[in-house]
Amino acid sequence: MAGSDWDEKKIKEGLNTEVVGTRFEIFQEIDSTNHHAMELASGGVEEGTVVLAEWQTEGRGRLGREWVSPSGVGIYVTVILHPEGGIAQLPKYTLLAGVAVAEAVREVAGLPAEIKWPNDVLIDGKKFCGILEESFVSGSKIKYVIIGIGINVNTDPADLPVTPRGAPTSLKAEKGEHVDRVELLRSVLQKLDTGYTEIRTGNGENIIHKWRGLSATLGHKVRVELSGGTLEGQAVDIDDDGGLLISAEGGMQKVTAGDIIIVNS
Amino acid sequence: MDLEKLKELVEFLETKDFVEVEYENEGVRLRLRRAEAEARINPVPTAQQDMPAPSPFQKTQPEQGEILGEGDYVTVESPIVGTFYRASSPEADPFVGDGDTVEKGQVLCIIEAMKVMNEIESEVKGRVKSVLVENGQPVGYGDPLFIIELS
Repeated sequence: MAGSDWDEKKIKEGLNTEVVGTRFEIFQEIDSTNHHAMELASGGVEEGTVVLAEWQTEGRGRLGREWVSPSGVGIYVTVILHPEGGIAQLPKYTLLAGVAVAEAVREVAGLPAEIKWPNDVLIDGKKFCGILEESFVSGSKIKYVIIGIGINVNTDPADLPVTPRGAPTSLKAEKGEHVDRVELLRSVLQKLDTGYTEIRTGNGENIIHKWRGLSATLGHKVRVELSGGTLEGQAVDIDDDGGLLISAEGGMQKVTAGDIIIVNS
Repeated sequence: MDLEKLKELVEFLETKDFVEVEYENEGVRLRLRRAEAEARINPVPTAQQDMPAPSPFQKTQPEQGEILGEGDYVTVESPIVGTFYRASSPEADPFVGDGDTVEKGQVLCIIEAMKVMNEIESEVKGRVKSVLVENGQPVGYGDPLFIIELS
């Protein structure tokens, strides 16, 4: 097993956050950082708590999909937030996670990470990152939001499964050299904190602006599979709710669910 | 029509109750339709809703000033637009089924919105009388999801 880089003191060096990273729980091995974070959150843990692991034995994505998490080479982290706003703000958290990862990867690894709507972070159309966000809703209030992020940093893509959604990559494979995991993690946490502060202080539109600048979707012809059929058209913009506006035959359509396929590039 | 104008129009319509709008000017014709229109127009039967409520819980037949007690029914409504899931993954058992007793704070379902999996908790203690939505179905704001008999 590779030695662990995850040292709380080292991570906190140069970390200048208001909320994210108030407390760290670091594991050599865990079933899933999201699972543990949900338990901590329901037990009323401090906001900004970060759950970090070298290895996840049951890393998972949306709809129970597996997220393979080899030891010592990736970032498997979950951040717990207790937003005070109502559920109308939830879409901002979707965009926030994608923006934080894409910006951090550009800054630390110098790779052209882009976001496919709404929060799939890709390099050259290839997936190196998985985001699983979960919230607990009571009435019209959010009790907590947890943001789980898995990044293939120095992972050998041969150790990762090829899914129906394509062959995965890692930052090392794309860059051709080792990427500092501590520096990258610190940058992700820093950017999550900045975005969270913006949402909390009523400046959530900054997230939308940043998202537009990192988008791999806008301006492209896209296809969306919806429960009522397939929609094809030009992706024009996202609105304040993060919904994707598609100019299609028959008029402008707003899409808030479904998987987007980029038809041309 | 430029993008700014279009955005303005979309934002304006969102503050109104329109489901569909057609606009024509100088040879430009535009039709805007809300994605959640169908869910709004065709609520699941048994819906008894006049106004969107701040809480997703509404008594099925509200009467002014009445206090809810044992044996009364409440409808749990969707607080958001999204996709309804009865379980945490396709292989997992449903959170609740017909006849199950539920505690206050217990998870009833997940509604996925913009890739966020939102666990919806019960605000009451009672017994599940019926589950009104199929797994994987889209739901709109205020759509009835469950009927719960209070205990």
